[in-house]
Amino acid sequence: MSAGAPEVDSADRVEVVPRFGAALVVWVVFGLLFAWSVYAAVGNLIQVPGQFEAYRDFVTKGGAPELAKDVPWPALIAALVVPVLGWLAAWRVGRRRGLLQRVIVFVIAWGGVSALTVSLTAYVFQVSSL
Amino acid sequence: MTTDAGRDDAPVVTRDEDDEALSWGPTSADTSYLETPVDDVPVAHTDEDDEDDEDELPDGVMSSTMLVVHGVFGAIFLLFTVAWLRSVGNVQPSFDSSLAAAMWRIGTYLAVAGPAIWFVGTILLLPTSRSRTRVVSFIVGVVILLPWPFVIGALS
Repeated sequence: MSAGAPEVDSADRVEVVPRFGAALVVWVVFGLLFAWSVYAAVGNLIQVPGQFEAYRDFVTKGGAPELAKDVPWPALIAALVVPVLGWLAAWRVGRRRGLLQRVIVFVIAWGGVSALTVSLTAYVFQVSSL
Repeated sequence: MTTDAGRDDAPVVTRDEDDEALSWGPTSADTSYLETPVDDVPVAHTDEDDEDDEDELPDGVMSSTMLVVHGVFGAIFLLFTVAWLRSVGNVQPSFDSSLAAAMWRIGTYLAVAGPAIWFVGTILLLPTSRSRTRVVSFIVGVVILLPWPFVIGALS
């Protein structure tokens, strides 16, 4: 694939593949935005279990251990994985497309990742009732 | 006064040639006549071809079925937007920095705008000829953008 050369995809549409440098800028900018979600998820993965343990100790000492909550590991891990999968999906869908279309694909993916992150956070809140 | 006898170079029409001009077919002496097979005669449209009608639409024109599908998914995404708008404020985690709070706020804005972005983006990126891929994209969007904060709030 030569840089800047028109390419015909399966739908017979001609797309101008951007230069590698321009594509790299898009990948890096959205990579940083998505990486923030990963960073926040890592922070939650470290801190949230500690809060659940503290709550467990509190209710156990209070004589009501049945009120203790299990750590929602699947949701915490999903919040870590979703941004990575979102970036990879946008990179995959954006291949063979023009620069503007790649940006649109990454914006769509960013919206999807944000919605899933908020949903997972709401789920953790609902499970923990913290 | 003389009688006009006509042009001298005018062809003299004989009785036989007059009959020839009134006939057309294999027995004619006219060499421009061609006997061709009847294979090229257009065949009437059959019911079996109706399945391909959607493919015969010109670019940029959707079938009525696809128009209805777009309307249904557009309505779903619109409902999602309203649900996100009403429920996203219920999720209020604590932050240890102003940057984290700002990024969370941007994320909530994107969650609210997500359904509209997904719907418009799908239409922009996929031409009408790839209608099935559009439908798949809409379905994936419905699954990903489901407003769980609203659902959880409604269930609890």
